[in-house]
Amino acid sequence: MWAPVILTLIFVFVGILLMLVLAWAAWRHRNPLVPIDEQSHSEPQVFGPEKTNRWLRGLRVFFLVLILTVFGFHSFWVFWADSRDSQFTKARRFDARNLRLAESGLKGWVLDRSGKLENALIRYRSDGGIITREYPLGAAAVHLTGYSDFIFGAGGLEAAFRDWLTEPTSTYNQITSPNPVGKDLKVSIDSGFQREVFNLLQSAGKPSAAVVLLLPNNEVLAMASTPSFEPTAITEENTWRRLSEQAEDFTTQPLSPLVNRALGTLVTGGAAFYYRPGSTFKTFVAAAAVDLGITQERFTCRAEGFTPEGSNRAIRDYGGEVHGTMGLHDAFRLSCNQYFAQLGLKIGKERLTNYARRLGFATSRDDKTARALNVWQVTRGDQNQFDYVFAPPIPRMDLSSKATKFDVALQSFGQGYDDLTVMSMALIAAAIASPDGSFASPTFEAGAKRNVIGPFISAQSAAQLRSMMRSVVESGTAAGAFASLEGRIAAAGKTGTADRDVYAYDRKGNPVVDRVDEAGHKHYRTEGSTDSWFIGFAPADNPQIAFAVMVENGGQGAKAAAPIAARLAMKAASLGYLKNLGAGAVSARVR
Amino acid sequence: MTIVRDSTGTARMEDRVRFARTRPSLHLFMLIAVFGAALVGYVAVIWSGEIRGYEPSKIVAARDLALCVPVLGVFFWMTRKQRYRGEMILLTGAIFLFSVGQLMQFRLFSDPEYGARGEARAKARDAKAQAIRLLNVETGYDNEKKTFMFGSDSAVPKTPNVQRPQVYEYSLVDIITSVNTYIPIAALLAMGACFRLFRSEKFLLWFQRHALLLGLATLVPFAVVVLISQEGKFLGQTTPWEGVKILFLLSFAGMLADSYRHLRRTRWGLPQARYLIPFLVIAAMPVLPFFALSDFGQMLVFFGVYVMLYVVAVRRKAQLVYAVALVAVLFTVFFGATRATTGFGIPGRVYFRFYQWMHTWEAPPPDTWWWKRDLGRYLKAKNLTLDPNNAQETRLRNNEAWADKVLQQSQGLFGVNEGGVVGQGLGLGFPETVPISDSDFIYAAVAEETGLAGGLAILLGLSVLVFAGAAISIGADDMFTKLLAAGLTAFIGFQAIVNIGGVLRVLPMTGITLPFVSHGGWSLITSFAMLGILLAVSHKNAVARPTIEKQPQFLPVR
Repeated sequence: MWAPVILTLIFVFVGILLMLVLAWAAWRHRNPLVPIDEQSHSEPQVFGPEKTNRWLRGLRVFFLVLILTVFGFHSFWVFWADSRDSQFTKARRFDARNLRLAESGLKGWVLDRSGKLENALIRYRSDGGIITREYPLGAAAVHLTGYSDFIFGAGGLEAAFRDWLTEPTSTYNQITSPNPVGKDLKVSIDSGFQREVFNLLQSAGKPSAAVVLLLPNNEVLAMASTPSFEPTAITEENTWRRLSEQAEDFTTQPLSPLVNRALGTLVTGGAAFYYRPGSTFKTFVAAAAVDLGITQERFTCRAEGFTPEGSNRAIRDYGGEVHGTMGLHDAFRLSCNQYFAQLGLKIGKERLTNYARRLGFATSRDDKTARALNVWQVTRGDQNQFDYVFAPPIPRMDLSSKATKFDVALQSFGQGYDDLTVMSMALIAAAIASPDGSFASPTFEAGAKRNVIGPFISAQSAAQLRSMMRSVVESGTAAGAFASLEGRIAAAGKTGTADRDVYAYDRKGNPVVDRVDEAGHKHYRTEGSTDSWFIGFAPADNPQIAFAVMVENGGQGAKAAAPIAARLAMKAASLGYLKNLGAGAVSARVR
Repeated sequence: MTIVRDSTGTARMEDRVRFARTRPSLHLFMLIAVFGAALVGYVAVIWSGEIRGYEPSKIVAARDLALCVPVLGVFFWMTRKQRYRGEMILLTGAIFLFSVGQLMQFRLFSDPEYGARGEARAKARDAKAQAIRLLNVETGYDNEKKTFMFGSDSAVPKTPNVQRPQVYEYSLVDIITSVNTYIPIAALLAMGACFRLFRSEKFLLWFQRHALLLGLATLVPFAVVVLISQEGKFLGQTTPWEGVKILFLLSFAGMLADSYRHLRRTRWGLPQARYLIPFLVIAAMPVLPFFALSDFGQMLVFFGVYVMLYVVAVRRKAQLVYAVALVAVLFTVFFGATRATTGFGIPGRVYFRFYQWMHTWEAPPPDTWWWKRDLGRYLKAKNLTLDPNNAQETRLRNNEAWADKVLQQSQGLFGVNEGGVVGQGLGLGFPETVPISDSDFIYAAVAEETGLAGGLAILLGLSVLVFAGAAISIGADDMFTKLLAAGLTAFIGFQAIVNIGGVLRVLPMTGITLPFVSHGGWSLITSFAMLGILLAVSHKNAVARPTIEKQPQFLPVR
C-alpha cells in the first residue's frame, strides 16, 4: 500500500507547488499596473472607482483572514482535537471507520500452551476465500476466549488482551497492508484438557464450574463453566438481545449462560454473583488454626447442635449427623460443622480477619470494594483492561463489629456471609499446596514466573494441612469418590456442601412471584439449593495441580463435585501433568 | 528608468517595467502540469482500488483526463481567436480545483460501497474487508499458518469476488452517454459564451440600463420554479436555478452602479426615496425565493455579497446603523411570523443547524420542541418504542437517534482528523462513510485522503481565485464592471468559505456546494459561467488601458 501513498504525496506536492506559483503570481499582480501617461487626474477623488478600490483591497485582507481562520480550524481538527476535545474523543469511538478497520484487520491467534496451530483457542479459517474468526473449542471455552464482534462488543481473552492481539508484527506487512496483522498470544490453557473438563461438567447436568491451576506458577490449565453458549450465537441479534437481557436482570442472571461461574463474572466483563463455599471453607479456618498453633482443641458435636453465645439458633451438621467429641484432624476429615463453628469462635474475629486479609478478602460489609483488582498476573497486556474482564468480585466475609458470634460461627464452616468464587477456593488450595504456603497470582500466560502476592501460612502449617487434606481423600468424606484413583494417583482435598437460597424458576426461566407488596415491589419465591464442592490438589505430597469444582444443587460434595474432581485428576495425569504420582500411592483403604 | 504609477496612485522608479500580466505560456505549462498531477492521482486511485478489492474504471479515468483537450482547446481559443489580453490566473486556478474535484468524484464513485444502498452496501463493505484480510494473510502470515489455513503456502487466493459499483461507467457507450462527460464540456462552453457576451460594450450597457426590469423578469420564472418543485430540487436532486444567481447579481450591480452616487447623498443618513426604493426591491428579490426553498446557505452568501457591494460602493458608515436597524426589524418580523406557525421564534430546522454547530455530540433532551419529531421518525423507522420509565434506555435511544442525525458532520470531522498532515492516501481512506461526500462534503473527503496538505492546496487555489478576481475588480474602470467583478469574486469566495466552514464546524452546516470542486448538479456550469464573466472583465480592463506587454530590449540611454 505504499505505492498509492507515495503517488498521493507526489500529487499533493505538485498541487501545492502549482498553487504557490499561482499565488505568487496573483500577489505580484494584485494591483494592476498603469503607465504614467495614461493616468487622468481630472476625476474628483471623493468617490468613484478609486475609493472603491481602496475598500476592495481591505476586503481582500478580510478574505485572507477568513481563509486563515478556516485553515486554523482544519489544523485544530488534525492536531489538537484528540487531546483537547473530550466529546470528540468519546464520539470517535462510534466512528464508522472503526468497524471497517476491525473487519479488515487480522487479530492475533490465541494459542494454547502447546503452541500448535491445531490446538489453538482462537484462530482464523478460510471458507472459500472468506476469512472468519473461529473458536474451535466453541462453548467449551467461550468464557475464556470470549468472542469479538464489533457491534456486540467483546469479552474474555479477546477483550482482555485486545491491545496485544491488534499490535502489528512484521514491518513488511505494515508497509504493504493498510491494516496490519496482530500478534499471537500463547496462553497456559491446555486445549484438550479444557474440552475434557467442560465435558465432565456438562455430564453433571447442572450449572457448574471448575478451575485447574498448574503449580508452582499458578498457570490456569483449564477454566470451564456450564451452562455455556456458542461464540457464534452472538452474531444473531435476537439471540444476543435475549441473552443480554437475561444476564442483566438480577432475578434471571443465575440462569444465564453468559456468566462465567468459575470467576463469578460476566463473559463481557463485570461482576455477576458469588457462591457460598460450604465446608471447603473449613480449609481456611483449619489453616488459620494450624498456623496459630490451635491444633489440640477438642470440641463436641451434639445432637441438639451447638448454640453460640447470644443467639437462640443451633448449628447442626448435615443430615443431623453427630460426631461426638474429637480433635482437629478428625473433624476436618469427617467435616464436622459444629467443631469448626466452635473453632472459629475460638480463633476469634481479629485473627480470622488477619488471615482473610492475606488472601485479599473484604472483611466488612461496609467495605464497598467491588472487584479483586491486581490479583491476576498480567505481563502481555494492560492490567486494567484485563481486570475489567477477568477480575472476580472480591471475596467477602463479615468479621466486622456488626457480626455476631452466630455469624462468625456460620462463616467458619462456609455458610453465612461467606461470599466467594470458585477461583478463590482454587487459589486457597494452591496456597496450601505450595511448599512455602504463600498466596500467588493466577495467570493465563504460559511460562510466567510465580508471582507471590503475600504469605498465607508457614511452610510447616502448609505441610500439616496437606496431610489433613490427604486424609479426607484416603479415609474421609471423599474416599468413595477417589477410590478409583487408588494405587495410581494420590490426591488430596476437601469436600464441601453449601446450602443457600435461590430463586425458584418456572419452565420458561422466569422467576416465580410470591406476592406483591403495597409499594408494588415483587417478592419472589425462593427455594433451597445444596451446592456440591470439592477443592484439592494432586499428587498429595508433591502437588503439581490444584483445582476447585462446584456443582450447583449437586447435593453433598462427595456426590457430584468430588467424582468430577477425581476424573479430572486422572485426565491430568494421563496428559502428563502429574509427573510425580506421589509416594505412598498405594492407598491404605481396601475397597 | 521610467516612472510607473499603479492604480493606488503611488509612483515608483523602476528600471524596467513589470509585466502587466503573467505570461500565457506559463499558464499553458501549468495547465499541462495540473493534468499531469491528476494523472498521478488517478493512478493512485486505481492502485488503491486493486488493493482493496474493487476495480476502478480505467475508461472513466481516461475520459476524465481526456477533458484536458477541451480545456486546452478553450485556452487556445481564448489566446488565439479571441486575442485575450486579460489575466489567466483565474482560469488555471479554477481548472486545478476542477481537476481535484473530478479526481475525488472518481475515487468515490468507483468505490462499490459508495454508490450502493442497503444490503448491497453491506456486501460491498464485506468484500473490501475480505480483500484486505487476504492481503494480510499473504504478507503477514508465515508458511506454517498459510499451510494450516489453505493447504499450502501458495494456495492463498488473491481477492474474493471483486464487486463493481452500480453507479458507474465501464464501456465506451456508457462514457458517451454519460452526463459526467457533458457537464464539464457544457461548463466550458458556458464559460466561452459568457466571455463572448460580456466582452461586448453594447451588451453591458444594455444590461446596466435595464437592470431593474431584467431582475424582475428573472424573478417570475424563478417563482414558478419554486412553486412546482419540492424544496428546490427537481430533475433528480439537481438545482438548475443556480444560474439565476448571476442574473440577480447583474441586476443588483447595475442598479448600484447607476445609483451609488445618489445613495451617497443622504439626508439624516437616508438616501432619497426614488433611488432607495428600487434598490431595496432589487436587494430583496433573491431573499424570498431562496427562503421559500429553504436554502439558507445561498441566502447567507447573497446577503454577504450584497452587503459587501453596497458598503464598497457607497461607503457611508452612518448607513450601517440604518442597515442594522433594518435587519433588526426584518428579524423581528421573521421571528414573529415563525412564532405564529411553530410557536417558537425560529424555524426548527435553523435552530437544529445552530445547535448542531455548537453541540455536535451532545444529544438534546428527547422532548425538545425542534427535536421531538425527528426523534419520533427515527424510532418509527427502527420499529422501537420508548419506555418512559426506563431512563437509561431512553437516553441510549436518544443518543443513537442524534448520532444518526449528525452523522454527516461527525463522520466528516473524524475523517479530517484521520487524514492528518499528508492524508491516508488516495483510495485508502474511508470517505465513503461520510454521506454526500462527493458534493457537499468534498472537502472532508479531500482532507481525509490528502490531509492538511491537500486542504491547503484547495485553500490556496481559492485564495488565488479571490485575489485575482479582486485584482480584476480593482483594475476595472467603470463602476458596473467593477461591482460585477467584485460581486462574482465574492460569490466564489463566500460560498467556498461557507462550505468549508460548514465542514470544519467554523459555521453551521448549510446545503451549499464548493465552487469548481463540487461537480454536483449545475454548480459547475454556474461557476464556469461566472469565471467567463470575470475573464471578460479582465480582458476589457487590459484592452481599455493598454500596458506594456514585453520587457524593453535595451535600457534607455541617459
